[in-house]
Amino acid sequence: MKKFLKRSIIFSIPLIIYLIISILIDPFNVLYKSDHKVLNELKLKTSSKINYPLFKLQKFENHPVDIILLGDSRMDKLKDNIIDELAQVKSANLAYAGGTLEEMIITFWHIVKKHAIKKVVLGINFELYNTKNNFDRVTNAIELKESPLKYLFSEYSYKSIYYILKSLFTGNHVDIEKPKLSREKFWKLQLEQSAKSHYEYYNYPEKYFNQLYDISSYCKKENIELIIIIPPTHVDLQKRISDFGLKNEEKRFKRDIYKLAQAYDYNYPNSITLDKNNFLDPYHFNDSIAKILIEEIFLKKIKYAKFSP
Amino acid sequence: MLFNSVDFTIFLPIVFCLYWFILNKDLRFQNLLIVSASYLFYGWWDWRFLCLIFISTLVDYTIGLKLQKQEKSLKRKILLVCSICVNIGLLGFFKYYNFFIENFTTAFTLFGLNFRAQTLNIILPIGISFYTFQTLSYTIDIYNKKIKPISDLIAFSAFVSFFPQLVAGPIERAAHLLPQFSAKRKFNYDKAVDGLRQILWGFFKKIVIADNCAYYANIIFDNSENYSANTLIIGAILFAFQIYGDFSGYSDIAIGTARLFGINLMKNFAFPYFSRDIAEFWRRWHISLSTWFRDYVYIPLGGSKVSSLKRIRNVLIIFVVSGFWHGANWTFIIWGVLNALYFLPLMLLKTNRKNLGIVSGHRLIPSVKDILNMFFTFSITCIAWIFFRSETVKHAFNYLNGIFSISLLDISTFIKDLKFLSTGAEIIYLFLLLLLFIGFEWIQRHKEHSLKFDKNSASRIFRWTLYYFVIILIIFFNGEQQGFIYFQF
Repeated sequence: MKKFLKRSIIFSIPLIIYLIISILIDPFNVLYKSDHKVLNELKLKTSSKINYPLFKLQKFENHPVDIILLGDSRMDKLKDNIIDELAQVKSANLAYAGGTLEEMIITFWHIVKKHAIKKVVLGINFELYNTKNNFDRVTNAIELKESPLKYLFSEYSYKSIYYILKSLFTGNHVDIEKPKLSREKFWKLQLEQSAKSHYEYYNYPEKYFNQLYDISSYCKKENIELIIIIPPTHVDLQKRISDFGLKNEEKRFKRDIYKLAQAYDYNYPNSITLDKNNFLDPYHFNDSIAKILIEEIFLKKIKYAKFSP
Repeated sequence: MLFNSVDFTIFLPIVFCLYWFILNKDLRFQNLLIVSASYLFYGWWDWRFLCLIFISTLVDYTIGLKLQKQEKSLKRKILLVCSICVNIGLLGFFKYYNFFIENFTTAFTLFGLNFRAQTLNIILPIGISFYTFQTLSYTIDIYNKKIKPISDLIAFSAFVSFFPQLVAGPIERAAHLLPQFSAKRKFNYDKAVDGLRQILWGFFKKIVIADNCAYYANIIFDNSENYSANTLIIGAILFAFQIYGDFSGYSDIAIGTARLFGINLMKNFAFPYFSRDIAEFWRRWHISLSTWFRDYVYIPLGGSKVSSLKRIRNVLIIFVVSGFWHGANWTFIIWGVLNALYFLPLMLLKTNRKNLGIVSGHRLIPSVKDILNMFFTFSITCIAWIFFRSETVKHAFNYLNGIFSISLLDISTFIKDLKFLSTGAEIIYLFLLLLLFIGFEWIQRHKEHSLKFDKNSASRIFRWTLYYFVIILIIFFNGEQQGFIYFQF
């Protein structure tokens, strides 16, 4: 028995050390709310990018608010601290880079179970409105939040801890999402490969329309203000929709959106979308455009939004 | 309580320490600890159903003692029937009530008659199919005078409720497990270490293999009308590995955990996908259930010592009942019938006991004949699994129609489906992982479980490196958690 215990403990030493470090760092703040400023900043720079849903859902749980934003990396640019400052509200941005409609819908229902919200802003582009786009990280994130052991031993915790420790010891912050290409090359890559992956196998998502309709009905019933925005993309990308012969499908998408809620459509040729300087790449507008969108949605300073298909 | 939960991670070491350090001097207290821990383990899910285990325990304990004292044949039969009625009654009510009501209603309606009966909102108690069969085997063995009853209620309760195998087997026999609770247990280092290895391998099969296969299998089965024939084949294969990883993984965790307490449970899986024919498959898959049906249904019906017609009848009965045991759905019954149809030709041709040894002996590379036989057996098993997995019979037939369609030759649609299913190369990594898994199981197929090592066959450095490699794979391939499939039975 002594031999068994001794060998078990020796075998477990690396696991125990990892467990202690991971509990102390708690990269996604699942175990406890941390007040350590340096650590929280590092977590924002690393953990939030390694697993968006896990980080943001836990952040919301630690600080619930009445206004939420859901979407993908484009909606992620509408930073809640800027919204709060400009509109004098308390909001939470629960948009995930690479987010899908599947994730937005699951997140919505998960949030409304936990907290009574008053306003929801969904950011949906045509690329998301596709049966194919059904990837789901949120279900796993919810499981990780509810299972400390699984959370601590997940690859996300391991990766975050590695990058946080690396930053702490080397003093250099590792930028996880920075593409290694020049702006022109990345622009071309997005128009060619990314657009192809989005539009090549388009399938009208009856299931998602029904689920969004359920959300719309629920919001009406619970007196929750629901706004849907179609974020702007550069006209180069808008043209790709025609290249893949999906113009009619796009029109149908916009008609569907307008049936569901008050919709702000920014994705058409206008002074925002015609200017490359307003974009980091064909998909993603920059911070100054994000500010314009915030002012239009939250301060009602309408200049660009279209309200009908 | 789930094996892969924080609760169990805290529960197991506490019970282990109490068992070996505090209560090891008194067998009764050790058994009492097992009973208490097992009731806590089960009650963690739903304490209300503890009464069912208690009823089953008390009834069969009492009947066992009365059977021993009763010499009159009629009264012995009555006692046995009481035990069967209580156990099958519990199982029948909780598991099959709604199935029978719905089917009677349909049948009466077909004949133009009005049959009104309310279905009930019944929760299926986890593990009921397992522990009722386990206690039933006790009374049947006493009736047949194969074993004597035990007067120690605590030891008997420990036999019924032993937590590692309570909710998903293996279904133990009293002759094998009960004496272990009546004998003093001595801590065995090798047994305990091997138990930990088996637990680790069980977690690997469940978390890495089963849960990751489940992710794609669920998408394909739930949207089967949208996928091409080749994708549907992939779905069936992934489900085959999902159910194997899930169920055999659970059995490995159960057996490994039991060994930590000095208890040996029976082997439940013996690398079934390396079977050369369906008869061999059923000697290697869910062994505890198939032998239970053999010993308590097939043999009492005459087994193989009757005419050919009766033998066919007996085989059909056990496979149909086995299918029905899995669930109150016609899909499970058809799954059973299909396996019976696979088995019957072998039995009638007297080739069902042809492949008794380990496939390809100790050779690393199997022969072409063995490969073809294994491939054929695996294929027909996958066809049967389609019924097992499908929600309805119609869905299963539609799935099969989808496989045996013209799209079988359409590779471009298959590639499109794969791109649809995974954003990157995840599905390819999964198949590489499955190949690694199959390869490792093949190499270790002579052993009780795949992580079993003799002290001299591999150095400690090699073994510990391998264990850490498995742990890292579990961490990195931690898929979306799925429930243990066999909990629903």
